Amino acid sequence: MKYLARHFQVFIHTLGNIFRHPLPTLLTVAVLGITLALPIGLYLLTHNLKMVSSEWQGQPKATVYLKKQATDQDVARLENWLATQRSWIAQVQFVEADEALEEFKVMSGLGKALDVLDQNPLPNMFILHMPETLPVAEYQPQLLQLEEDESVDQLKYDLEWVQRLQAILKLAEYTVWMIAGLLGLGALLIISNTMRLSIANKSDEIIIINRVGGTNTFIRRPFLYSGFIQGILGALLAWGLIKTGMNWLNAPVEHLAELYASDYQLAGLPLPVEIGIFLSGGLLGWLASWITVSLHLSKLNPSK
Amino acid sequence: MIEFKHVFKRFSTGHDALKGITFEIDSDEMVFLTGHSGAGKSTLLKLITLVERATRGSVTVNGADLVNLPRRRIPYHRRNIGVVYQDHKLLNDRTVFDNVALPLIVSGVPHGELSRRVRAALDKVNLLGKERLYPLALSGGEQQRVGIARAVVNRPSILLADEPTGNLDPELSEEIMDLFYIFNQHNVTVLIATHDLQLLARYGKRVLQLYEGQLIDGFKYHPQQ
Repeated sequence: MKYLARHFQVFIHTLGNIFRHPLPTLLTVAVLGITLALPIGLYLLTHNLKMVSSEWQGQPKATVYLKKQATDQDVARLENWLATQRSWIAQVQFVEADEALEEFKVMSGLGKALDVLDQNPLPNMFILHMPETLPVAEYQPQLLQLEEDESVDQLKYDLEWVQRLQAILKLAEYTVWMIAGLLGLGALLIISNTMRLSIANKSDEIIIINRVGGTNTFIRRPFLYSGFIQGILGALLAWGLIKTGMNWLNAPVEHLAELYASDYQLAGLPLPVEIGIFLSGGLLGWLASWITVSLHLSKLNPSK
Repeated sequence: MIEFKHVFKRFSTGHDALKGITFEIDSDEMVFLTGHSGAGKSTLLKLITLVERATRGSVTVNGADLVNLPRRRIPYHRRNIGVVYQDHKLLNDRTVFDNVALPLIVSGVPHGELSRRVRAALDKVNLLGKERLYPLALSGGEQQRVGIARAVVNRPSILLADEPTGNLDPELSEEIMDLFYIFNQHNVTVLIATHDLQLLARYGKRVLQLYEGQLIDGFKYHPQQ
C-alpha cells in the first residue's frame, strides 16, 4: 500500500512538472505523434486497398458464353463435365439468357428500352469461380480445352490481374511492417534523445539523490513516468491526426465511390489497432527513458 | 568505525591518488584531514561513501567491508553517512525544506515524521523559519548550513565534510566548524577535510596529514590535556 502510494505520488509530481514546463513536453509529444502517425497511416492505406480489392471480387472467375444454337443436351453435357472438374473449380453458376437480360436491364439502367428488341441478344452462360490460392497455370490448359468445345462461343477470363493485385498488396503489407519497424525504432531514438536532454538538465538532481542514498530504482521512477506519459500523449496526437485525416478524406472518397456506383466507405482503425497505438506509445516512451537513465546512472556508481 | 588498511587508489588515467593509507578512526571521534590540494583528501572521502572503490587494501566502515559490498547495497550504505560539500550541492529549484528532506524521501520516511525531522535538523543549524526560501535567497554561510542540515537529517553515525569552509570568510568558517564540533559532542563521528590549519588548531583534535597520496607524521595537534 505504501509502495502504491509512493508510485501515485511520483505520478502526480511528474504530471505537475509537465504542466509547469509544458513546452519541452509539447515538442517531444509532437515529434512522437508524427512519428507514430506515419506507420499507422500506411497501415490504413493498405487496409483500405485490401477492402477495395475484396469488394472487386478477389476470386478469379471465367465466363463461358455458349453458342446460340447450343441445345439443352449440350448444356447438360457441359454441366456434367464441369461437375467433374472440382480440382480447379470452386463453384459453377449457370445463367440463362433471359435471366441475364433481366439482370442487364437492371444493371444498365436501360430498362424498358430493351423491350423493343424482338429477340434476346444474350446467350446462355456459365460462370466459373476458381479458388483464390490456385495459380493460373494450374487450370489454363483446361480452360483452353473448354474454349475448343463445339457449343462454346467464347470464353472470357481475367485472372492474372487479381493475383497480381493480391501480390502487390502482400508486398505493400510487408513494406508497411518494415517501415513501421523503422519508424518505431526512430521514435525510440527520438524519445531517448529528448530524454537525454531533459536528464542533462536534471543531472545535478540525479547526482545529489544518488549521493544521499537514493537507489537507481528511485531515481529512475520519475523519468519512467514522464517517458510513459509523453508516449501516451504522443499516441493520442497520432490518433487525433489519423482521425482528422480520415474525416478530411472521407468526402472525396465517398464522391469517388459514387462515381464508380459503389457505396464504399473508408475503413477506420480497428479497435485492437487503436489499443495497440496507445500501448506502443506508452511502451516506447517508457523504454527510451529506461535506457537513457540507466546509461546515465551507470556512470555515477563505481563499475563493480 | 572507519578503518583503512594499506589502501591504494589508482585511477584509470594511471594516476595514483592514494598509496598505502592505513589509519583508524574510533566512533565519536572528530578528526581533521589536511594536505595540499591534489594530495588525495577528496579521494579518501569518496572511498568511504563508495563513490570510488579502493584498488587495493581494505576499507571498513561501521563493520562493513566496503571492498566487497555489492553495488546494490551502496545506496543503503550511504544513508548512514552524512556528507557536506564545499559547493553545498543544493538543488536551487527546490525550497530549503525540500532540500533537507531529500535523504528522508529516498529512505521512504513517512510524511509526518519527515516534517518533524526536517524542522529539527534546521533548528540545529539555526535556520528554522527559512524552510520556504530557495537556496539562492540565502547567504553563503546559510547555504552551507542547509547542506549540513541535509547531511544530519538522517541521523547518520558518520559525518564527512570536504572543505566545508572553503568558500567562507574566517568568521563564518568558525561558525560552521563549531556546528561540526557540536554534532561530535552528540556522538557523531566526524571527519573533515580542510586546508585551513589555523581553524583546526582551535579544536585540538587529531589530524591526518596527506602528502602526495601518503599519510605523514608531520605536525600533530594533540588534545589538550
